Amino acid sequence: MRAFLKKEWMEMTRTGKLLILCILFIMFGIMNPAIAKLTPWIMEMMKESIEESGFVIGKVTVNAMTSWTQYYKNAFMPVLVIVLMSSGVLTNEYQSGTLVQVVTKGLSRRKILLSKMISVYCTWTVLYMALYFGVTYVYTIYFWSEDKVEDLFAGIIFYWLMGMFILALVLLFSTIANNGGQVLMGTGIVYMVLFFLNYVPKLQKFLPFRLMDGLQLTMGSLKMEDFIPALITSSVSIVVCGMISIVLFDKRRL
Amino acid sequence: MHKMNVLEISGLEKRFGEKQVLRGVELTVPEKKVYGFVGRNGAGKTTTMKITLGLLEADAGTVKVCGESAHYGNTKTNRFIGYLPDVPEYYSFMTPMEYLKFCGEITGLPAKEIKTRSEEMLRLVGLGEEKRRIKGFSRGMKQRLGIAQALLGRPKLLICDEPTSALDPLGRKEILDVLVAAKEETTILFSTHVLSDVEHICDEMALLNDGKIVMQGSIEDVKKKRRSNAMEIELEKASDAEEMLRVFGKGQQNKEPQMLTVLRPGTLLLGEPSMQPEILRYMADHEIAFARMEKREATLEDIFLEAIKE
Repeated sequence: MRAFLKKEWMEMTRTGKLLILCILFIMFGIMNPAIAKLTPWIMEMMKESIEESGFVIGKVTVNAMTSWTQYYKNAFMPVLVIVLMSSGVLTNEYQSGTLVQVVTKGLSRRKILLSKMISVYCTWTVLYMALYFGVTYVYTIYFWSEDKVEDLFAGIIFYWLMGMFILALVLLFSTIANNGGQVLMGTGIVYMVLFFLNYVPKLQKFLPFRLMDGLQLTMGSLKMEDFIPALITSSVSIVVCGMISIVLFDKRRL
Repeated sequence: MHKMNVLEISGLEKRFGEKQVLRGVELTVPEKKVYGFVGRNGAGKTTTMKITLGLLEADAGTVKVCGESAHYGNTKTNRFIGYLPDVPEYYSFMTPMEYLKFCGEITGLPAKEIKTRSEEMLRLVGLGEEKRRIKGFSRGMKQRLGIAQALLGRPKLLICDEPTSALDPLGRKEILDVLVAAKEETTILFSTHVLSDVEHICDEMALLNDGKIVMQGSIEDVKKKRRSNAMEIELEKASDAEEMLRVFGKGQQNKEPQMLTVLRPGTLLLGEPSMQPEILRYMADHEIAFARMEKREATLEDIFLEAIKE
């Protein structure tokens, strides 16, 4: 299994995937504090045209909270990028037939799938924590060092878990789909279903979407215990998806 | 020590939707042989091989590799087998050496053995000096690398699916040479529709047609069984050939089947050996000169065509 993980790493670095991901995640990370920092300036630029239409702009103040608001607003982008990148993690190998040789060499299917899971989950965790969050955090501290932000980290971790949940779906669909498009479609359909279920007030606190509301925890409109049900359903879903994936992958024709 | 069968397939059946691809395949491959697995495209060769490797599920029948049953999914019997797929694909970002190292590691060979064996195998297939990544490899190079990876773990059985079909004559010869060299240490089952390849390197063969083995045995046996008695008669003058055809071509009183048929312009084929004296007498009487007259050797091609017709 170590050999297969090594191969995954080699693939990420040599094909330039890792480089692209790093650049994108750093860009996303810089964007949040940068937009916050530039807001007053942008407002100033547009002041005249806005005032002509009858609105009056007062003094615009930005602080660390503006930056974190941007963070949550833009966090779907890193998720989208990692999902797009991961949609081919197994399907590309089905299409090229490379796994046939790995299987006939005697590596068990479970070890292959487990390696894929580890590499996808680790990539997301490291890129999200170290780059998306890390870069935003460092710049926000740098610009607004005196601002106090409460309960920041819990919300950050919740969003990370949301990403893990989506990736669990991607991996699950990768065991049945034949190409990356089908993986994205399957994941998209589940996402849409959850999206509509989220309109049912009673369900809201159980759905993974709640994990994206970390900002409200930081602002105080939601409490920690409001997240517990969603945390549990999401974690259980990730494990269940993983188990179903293993069963399906064992039976899959390569 | 008694001779062991490396591969025993019996009663193998497989259907894809409406199409019954295998209808009870029986195949036995003895140790240390090069075994040719012949059949037309779509006859079921690849399907049989894939079932043996646990890549497809059989509907009925058993496959035993070195005495152990193979089954779909994770099959332990794959440790005995080296496999070369029809169109081998590799991780193109690796060099051949790295790929073999990767293969060795997932097979669980000791690190030291991997290194020496990889070098040995790459030298065997003529890729010893190749430092480039697999990305830019030609088909022939990929096939050769495929043999190297398949032989890496010293398999008891090497399964090659149409290893020469997509190659130019030179590439084909290289692969055949490598297979002959590999014969020293393993049993080879190789599928093909190129009969000259079978004649060149195989000890035994089986002919798969329409999902069944229609013929199986050593190359000599197969050829002997179907030795044809036909004579080829090449005449000096093409006009003589026409005359002979007019006299003997129809069969006497149009009752019997044709005795003489045209093989090529100027050359006739005599199907019925008992007619030989009569034909010769006619030629002597009419002063017809022949350039060549010989017994026709049955080629595998004839045997193949004949077996398929039935």
